[in-house]
Amino acid sequence: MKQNHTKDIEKLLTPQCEFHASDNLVNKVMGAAAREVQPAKTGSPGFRWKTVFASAAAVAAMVALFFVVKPEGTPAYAAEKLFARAAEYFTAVDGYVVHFDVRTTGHEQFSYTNPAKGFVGHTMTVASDGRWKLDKGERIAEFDGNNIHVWFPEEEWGWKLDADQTGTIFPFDNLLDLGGLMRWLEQYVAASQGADCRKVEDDETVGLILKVPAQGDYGNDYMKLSSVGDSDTRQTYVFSKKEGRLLSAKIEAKVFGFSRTILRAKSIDYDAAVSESTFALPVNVEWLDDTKETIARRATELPVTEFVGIGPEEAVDKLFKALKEWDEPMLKVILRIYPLSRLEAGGFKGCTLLKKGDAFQSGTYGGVFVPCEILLATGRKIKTKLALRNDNPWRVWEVDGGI
Amino acid sequence: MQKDKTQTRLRDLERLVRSQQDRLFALAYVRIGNRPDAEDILQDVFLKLFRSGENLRNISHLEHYLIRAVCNKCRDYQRKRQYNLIPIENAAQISIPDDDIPMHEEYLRISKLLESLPEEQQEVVRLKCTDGLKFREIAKILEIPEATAKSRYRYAIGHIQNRLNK
Repeated sequence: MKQNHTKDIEKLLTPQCEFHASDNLVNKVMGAAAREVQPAKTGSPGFRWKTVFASAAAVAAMVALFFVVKPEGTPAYAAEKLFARAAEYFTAVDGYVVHFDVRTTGHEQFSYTNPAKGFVGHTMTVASDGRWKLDKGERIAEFDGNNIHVWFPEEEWGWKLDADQTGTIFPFDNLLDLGGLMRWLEQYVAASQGADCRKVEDDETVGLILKVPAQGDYGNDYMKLSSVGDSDTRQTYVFSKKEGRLLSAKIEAKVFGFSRTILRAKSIDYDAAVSESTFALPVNVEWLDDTKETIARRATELPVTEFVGIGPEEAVDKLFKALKEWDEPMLKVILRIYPLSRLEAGGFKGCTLLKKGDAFQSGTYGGVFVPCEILLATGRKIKTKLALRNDNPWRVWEVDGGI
Repeated sequence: MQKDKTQTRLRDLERLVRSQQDRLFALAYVRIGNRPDAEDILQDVFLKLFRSGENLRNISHLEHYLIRAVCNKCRDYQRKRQYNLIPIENAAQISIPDDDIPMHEEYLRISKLLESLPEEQQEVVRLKCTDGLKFREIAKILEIPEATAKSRYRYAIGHIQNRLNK
């Protein structure tokens, strides 16, 4: 009786389908093995390919896959020429509108990506006179010719910034100058040893696929996959053959080995007519002046030295002491980018720091993270990782996120 | 002379990869559940063997080495994966290519049956049921006595049976 059950369970544990490795696995292994035995300076590419793809079938497979195993030099050269043509095209374009989707949340900073989230539609409008607007619904940024404004329409508050603070929309500031982006890509492909590049084409289009590794240090992987730069990506650009015009773009992140599209350009409307109303600023929005002039003035009026020359954990202690006592001058230093009235309404006035972890760095983020457990005045407990940075001219610690 | 030797060695490697890739791929896939990483693991294992200078012609002699190397690599991969940011339940939402769906369903089904077992029992069960190895071979690969392999298997089957009976 028991014997029968064992057999039944063994059957359950036995896969009921066949498993086949990809057709090109053998080529990948052989390509890598051939590179290892090929001395870099003495071998010729011809020898390498003759050795690796000895059979006619293997050679055919290689051609069909457009150099999946990259022979150094050739695809990078093709990429340079193609990007150069696209860059040339953009110098003649007036305004344009790019519609694209990103896996992110509507409220978070523009650089944030999360492969587990749904797509959020973005529209970047660039007018011929240099004005621009980036809109993802819950967060909007706009340059009206004088200042950049970033605001949250549903919460009715936002920041006023200087014209050159385009980093606030990073990495989409690249879209403000598509020609420049193409030139940058051209240089990247030409210079980068890390960029694996292949080309696919049909009668009318040419596609370039770049493999770009994550750019940060992930000794602590908290930030892994949290932005395009913090992800191992495959970036696909499709151009028209005729004029080198960029037609579409897609960025896929590697998540547990799966390819997950995190950004996709839906359409690019060249020479778009941009209406004047596009750049009308909203009324009933509370603006926090964060221009350089105001920041410099505050540095003379506020106790900034309290947050200079100390470690991030000590800065967090001072932050929570100030929150407990609601010491506004201190809070205006370390919480410079936050409207205090909204923090007060959210229960941060009088809150208590219950636990604090050690500061750590992760990925491409220039500051540090400090894990905190907070008891809000409302009685609610929250766990967060406060993002702090002090890479400003005064070396003052400021909270950059996590609240 | 050296060039001839290298070319011979590359041909031997190609023969070995072609003969073993599907079997080793199945071994890796039922442990980690995704094609690109399973194939990366195979590539690493084959290259390590290639670098070692081992005679690549004696395929039957190399089988156990390859199985053990793939199992170890999969274990390393699992350890790294548990520290990753994205919860596994979210990873399951990530789309699987249509051709891989039957394989992936088998991976999920078998993983579910094994999930409550200790790691060392899971390994014996996989080697026996998925990889079709004999207890003598399993003992050699895991470097344990044959009797231990058998008892781990017996406990594992008993445990699964109890779970299914509940």
